[in-house]
Amino acid sequence: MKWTPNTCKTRLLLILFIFLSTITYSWSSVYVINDARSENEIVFPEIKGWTLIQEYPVYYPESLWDYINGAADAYLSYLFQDLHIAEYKSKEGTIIKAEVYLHKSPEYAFGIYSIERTPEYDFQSYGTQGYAEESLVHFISGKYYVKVTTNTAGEEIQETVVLIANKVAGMLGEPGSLPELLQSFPKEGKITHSEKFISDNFLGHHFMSRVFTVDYEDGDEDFILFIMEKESGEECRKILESYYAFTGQSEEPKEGTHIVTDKYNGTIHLIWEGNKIWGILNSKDPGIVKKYLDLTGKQINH
Amino acid sequence: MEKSKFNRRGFLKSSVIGATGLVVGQKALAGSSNHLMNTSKKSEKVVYRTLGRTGLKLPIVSMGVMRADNPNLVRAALDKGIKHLDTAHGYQEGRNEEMLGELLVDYPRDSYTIATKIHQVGMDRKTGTYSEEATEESFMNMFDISLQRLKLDYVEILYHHSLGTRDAVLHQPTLNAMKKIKKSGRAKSLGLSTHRNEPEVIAAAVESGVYDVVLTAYNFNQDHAEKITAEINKAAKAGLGIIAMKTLAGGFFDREKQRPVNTKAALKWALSNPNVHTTIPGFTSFDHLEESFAIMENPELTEEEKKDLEGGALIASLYCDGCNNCLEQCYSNLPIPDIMRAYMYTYGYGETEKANNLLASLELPENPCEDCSRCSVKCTKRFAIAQKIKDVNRLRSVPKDFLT
Repeated sequence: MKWTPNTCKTRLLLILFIFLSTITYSWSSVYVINDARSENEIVFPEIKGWTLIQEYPVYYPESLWDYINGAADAYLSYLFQDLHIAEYKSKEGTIIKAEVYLHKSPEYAFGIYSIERTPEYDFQSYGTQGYAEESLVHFISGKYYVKVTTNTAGEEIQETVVLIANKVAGMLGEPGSLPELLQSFPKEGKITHSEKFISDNFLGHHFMSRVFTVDYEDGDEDFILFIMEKESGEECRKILESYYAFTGQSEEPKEGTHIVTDKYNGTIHLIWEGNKIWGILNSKDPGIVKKYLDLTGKQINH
Repeated sequence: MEKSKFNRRGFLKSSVIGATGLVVGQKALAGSSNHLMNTSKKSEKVVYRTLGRTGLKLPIVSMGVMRADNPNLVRAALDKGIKHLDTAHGYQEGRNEEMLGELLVDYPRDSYTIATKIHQVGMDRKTGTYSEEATEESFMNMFDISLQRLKLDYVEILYHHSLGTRDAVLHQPTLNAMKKIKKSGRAKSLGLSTHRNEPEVIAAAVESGVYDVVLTAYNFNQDHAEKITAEINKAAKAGLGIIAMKTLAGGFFDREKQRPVNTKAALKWALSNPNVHTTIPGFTSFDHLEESFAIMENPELTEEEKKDLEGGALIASLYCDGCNNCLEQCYSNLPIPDIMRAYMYTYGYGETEKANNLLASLELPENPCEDCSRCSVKCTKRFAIAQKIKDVNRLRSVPKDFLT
């Protein structure tokens, strides 16, 4: 068969057909991945005075290690989908790099971002939430986690880093808001920007996943509140059943307050109600424990 | 005026951020459970090997600290007798080193060893070589920040991180920085890490005379495992310590994550080479920790474990990466990735009915390759495409009653 424009058309049509037909192919998970890849076209903005270079390949879960090495494991646990990279080069040779990580949902993008930031950063209005430090801007926007960085310092360079970050944020569309469950944490004592989302193995236990946490201070007490929301109350029951099996406690899980003696993580006070479990870690003050479990319950049921 | 970001001001700022980040970000979890950890038993069997000329005696299972969200997992590992912790400057933008710094203040300095890795700036990831951005100063300043985060005066191993070429291994400014750091006592030994082009990198590490330790990707599922083994053996003979990473080969044999790797067997495979002195699986749960630690009770691969790895490797070897490069190359416009998937179902999983259903859905010609006398496709996985299509296509003429 010789190569002609007609065969090219036929080939493109066939590829399109295969693509469309596989969308409806329910058990074809390989093509589910490919669909996501084809949808995620990132068009990096042009910046006046800077040359846009796009020589990096798009990285996928199976190749992310090639780019960020061992750090990839954490990204994969937050359901990383793909990574697009562009570089901006000045006449002087300064390079600013923009990395756009796509995760499976805004929740997971927030999660990986949340475990990489500290509350002390200089938070500003980039995307859903973000911060600027010397030579970098990091932010999330919907399902995206974006890092704009350079190895060169200087005011003008920083201005360009910020400009690129803002343009990329604009390119990604409406940023949306932080995960809704974060609204259920009480405001009193809360350390701003300490919210986290732990995708799996919360407290090192395989049966606890998709957990939101926030750091708190109250007087001399530093502690953590956590909330997990499941599809059903039955899921919550199974979690507690597993937790009791781990600790060797014989109670039958029922809705209400539980005190778990975890040999690795200390005494965990938690409440199961409906499809939610919330709890407190690391407080030794019974007054604090009661106060914040109650506050969280009120906020959840608000 | 432009300048390197790794200047004194940047260093101090990062340090302050790091230090305060420790207090607020990690204080609650880190401070809670020393007494609980101390109640654990330490009676489990621990097998040690000596890390080459460093003289460090390490358990054959160490801990890759990949995530910082539960310091109590690290405490549990140390308490069980795992002695060596592996982190990196870049993990979680520094939060990982900070978490370790916060918890290690509770442990005597001689009760653990720690390694961190610096990814030198200015690497062209396409060629694996460095630009002029990569200087002694840039490397040393990143290491200073790492020590500050770790709250330590020194680390046992400082790695030059993620190398893929001989040129990068021998990059003179970085080697100069590393030698100065070692001379100052802030790193007891020097190493490099590699997970691509490993044989060339390991050989260059020996050639350099500077590196004491090699941290290399090493697993049963690598196409070039034999070549890596050969270079590991040469390096060990030259006195280098060898640490294996990525031993679990990604944890699954398939992209759908339906075929998990037997993690015990995979670790044992790496450790079956006596020149591999320790491994650094990345624990994220207490179950992982218990399972990996149990290897020391019986480090020998059992026959069943060998079969698990061989069976899994067969599936992996049949697995189409789905790069789709073949679609452009095939003169007959065949949906080759789908056909390769059918091939894997048949010859890897033994699921012939599933394979046949897939082939039927593709509406292939009776003899898909009949238009070509020679196959034009060059598969990136070096599959003999035409032969595989011919083989699996026979399935379509098998009566359904015979399919499984």
